[in-house]
Amino acid sequence: MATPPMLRQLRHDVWATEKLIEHCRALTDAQLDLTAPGTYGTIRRTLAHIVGGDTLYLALIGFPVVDAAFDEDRLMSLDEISGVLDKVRAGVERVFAGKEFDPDRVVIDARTDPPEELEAWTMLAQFAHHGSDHRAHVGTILGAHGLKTPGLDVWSYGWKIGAMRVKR
Amino acid sequence: MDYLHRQMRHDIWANEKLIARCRALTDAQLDLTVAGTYGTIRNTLAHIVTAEEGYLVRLRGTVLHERPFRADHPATLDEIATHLGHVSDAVEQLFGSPPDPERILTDTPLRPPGAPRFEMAAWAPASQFVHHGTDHRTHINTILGAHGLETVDLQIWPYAMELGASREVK
Repeated sequence: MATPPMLRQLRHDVWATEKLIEHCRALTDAQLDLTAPGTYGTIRRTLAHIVGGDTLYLALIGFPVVDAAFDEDRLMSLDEISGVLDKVRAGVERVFAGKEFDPDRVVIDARTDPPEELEAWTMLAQFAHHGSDHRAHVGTILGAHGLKTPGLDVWSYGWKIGAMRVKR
Repeated sequence: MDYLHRQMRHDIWANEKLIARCRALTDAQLDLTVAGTYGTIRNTLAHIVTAEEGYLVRLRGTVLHERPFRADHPATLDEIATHLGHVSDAVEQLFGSPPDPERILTDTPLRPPGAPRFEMAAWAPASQFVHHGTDHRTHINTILGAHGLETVDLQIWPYAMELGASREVK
């Protein structure tokens, strides 16, 4: 069976976050706490927020990967953030491993008062949007402070997995 | 409905919202930027839409219009909005009969003479379309925020509310 484009997009998202975390391992603690006006916050907090969002979107469609005590606002090390991303990666694969994912299935978000009902596709679209959005923030912070930025687009991912090639 | 179609429609909606927001800016504000982003607000908007036309040309294998839209001049918002209309039309045509995401695209009509030819599965430029738009719209919101100007919520949530794909439980 062909890989669903939705899964392809989420795999790219997880790969890009992983690559960004790896890039950030070369930074000092002080650099991880850099920020820039107009962005979400420090690099460290933004990375934690990306994976925190990932876990929320998965939980809302019935694939929880962390327990209820998980708190993205706690100061996390890159190892901890990376550990959460590993669970996110496994969760993404589980979504598509069983019977075909129904994007139109309605799920309830009981965190709000009154609760909201959402079509499941919105959660996965938000997963990808949210990741690209906040990774762009980290890229801006790095660039604004004269630090190197990694290539995180789908082209870079396509090369990495052999889905793109130069034809002579 | 095809997932990528939904995502591309969200992308176009977000571009429209952002262009509408930018119409309230002065010319000088449109030329604002901050370090670490792509460039000025104006150039970033033009870059988003020129790239989207390029991805669609690759996916279709035919040009959208005779003279390609290039970000080689300070484009007006009207010009950018007009090309976003071309993008929107092309997306709807493309998904009129949903494309095979695994189909191998062997070239693009926009490849300059002598430039290398890239071969790729169709899902790659389609996913890049979505990623690229988000990435650069974030740059614009960053510029707006850094200069104390109001930003726009371009997430899936407000879009889903407008569509009726997200609603309060009665």
